[in-house]
Amino acid sequence: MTLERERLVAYADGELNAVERLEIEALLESDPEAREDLEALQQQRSDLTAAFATDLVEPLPERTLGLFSGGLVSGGLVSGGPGSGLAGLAWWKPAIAAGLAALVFGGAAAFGVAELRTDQLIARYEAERSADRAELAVMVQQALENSPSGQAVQWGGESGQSAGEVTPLRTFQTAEGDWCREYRAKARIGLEVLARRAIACRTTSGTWETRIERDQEHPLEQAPSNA
Amino acid sequence: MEQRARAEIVALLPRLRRFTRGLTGGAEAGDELLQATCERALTNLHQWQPGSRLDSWLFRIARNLFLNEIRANKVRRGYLRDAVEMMPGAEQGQRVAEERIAVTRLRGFLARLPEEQRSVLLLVCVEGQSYAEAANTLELPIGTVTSRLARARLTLKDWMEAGSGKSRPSPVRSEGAAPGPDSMKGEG
Repeated sequence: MTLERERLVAYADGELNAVERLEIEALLESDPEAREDLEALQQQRSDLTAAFATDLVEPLPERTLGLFSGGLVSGGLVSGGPGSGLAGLAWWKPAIAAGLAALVFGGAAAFGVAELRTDQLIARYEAERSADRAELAVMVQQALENSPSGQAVQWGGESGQSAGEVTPLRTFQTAEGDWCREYRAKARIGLEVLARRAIACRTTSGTWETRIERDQEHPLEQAPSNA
Repeated sequence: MEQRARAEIVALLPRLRRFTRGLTGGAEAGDELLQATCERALTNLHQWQPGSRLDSWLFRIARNLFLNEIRANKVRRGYLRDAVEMMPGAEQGQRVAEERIAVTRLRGFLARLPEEQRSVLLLVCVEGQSYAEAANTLELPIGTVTSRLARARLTLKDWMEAGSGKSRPSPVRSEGAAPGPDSMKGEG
C-alpha cells in the first residue's frame, strides 16, 4: 500500500490538513483511478453504516437490560438506593425510547421509502430461513435417533432454498452415563453455508442436545473472491 | 454520579451492541460480548473518569474482552458458529433482495479482516469516531490507526470489487477472522 493510497483514505475520512488536502486534490485532478477509488471509499462508508442499521434498532437483550435495573449487579456497586429494585426498572426506559426514536427517524431519512420495501423482502426471506432452520433441527434429531454411524441422512428444505445432510460419526457414553453422538452437518440455508461437527447427547426426555460445536471445513480460509 | 453514568450506558447500549456484533461477526456472539462488556463496565464503573468519553471507555472494554477471547483461544461456541453463518454464500439469491446480498457479503468480508483492522474500521466508519478518537479508544498511536484503517478499507474495497467482477486482484488474508477450530479436528 502506497502512502498516496493511505492519504486518499484519510482524505475520504476528512482527516487531512489543508496542505495534504491540496496534494490529494491535485492527484484526483490527474488520476481517474484515484477518483474511482475515492468514490468507492465514500460509498463503502455509507454501505458499512447501512449494513449495521438493523443492529441498532433491534430490541436489546432482556438480560443485558436486567443488569441495569438494580439489585443484580455485584462487585463494585452497592445494591440498594434509588436505582435498585422495581423503582429502578423505570428509569432507563426514557433513555432507550429517546435513543430509538432518534435512530428510527434518522434511519428513515437516510434510506427513504425504498428501504421499507426491501425490509419486507428481508422479513419474508428471514421467515423462510427460520422455517428451514427448524426443519434442519428436526432432521438432526431424527438422524441422531435413528441413523447408524457413518450413514448420511439427506435433507431438502420445504422452501426449496435450503438443503443439507447429517452424518452421525460415532456413539459413546460419558462418565455420567449419558449417551452421546458425534455428528457432521453440512447445509446451505438460503445464502448461508454451514459446515460443522458437533457432539450431541441424549437427554432423559429423549431429545438430543448439542453440547459442543466446531466448524469443520475451514470455510473462512477460502478466497473471498470465490463468493 | 454512578447512577447517572449507568443511565448513560443504557442510552449507549444500541451503539455498543452494534460494535460488539461487528467485532464478533455475529448477532448471538455480539450479544454475548455485549453482556460481558456491561458486566465488566458496571463492576469497574468507579474506574471511569467523569469527563472522559463514556462510549470510548465501553468500546475499549468490549474490544479488550474480545481480544482476551482470541488470545486465550477459548472460542465460545457462538463466536465461531456466527462467523461461519456470516460467510458470504454462493450467490443463489434470485429471490432475495440485492441489498441483502450486499450486506451479507460486506459483513462476511468484514469478519475476515484481521481483528486489529476490523476494530479500527468499525470505530471510524460505523461509529463515526475520528482517527484521534479511535486512537484514544484503542490506546494506539494515531499513525497506527491511520495505516490500519487504510489497509482495512482498501482490502475491503478490493474484495467487494473482486466479487462484483470489477478489476484488480484481491489480497487474501484469513488470519484474525474467527480463530480456527482447535479440538475435534480430523476425520473420525
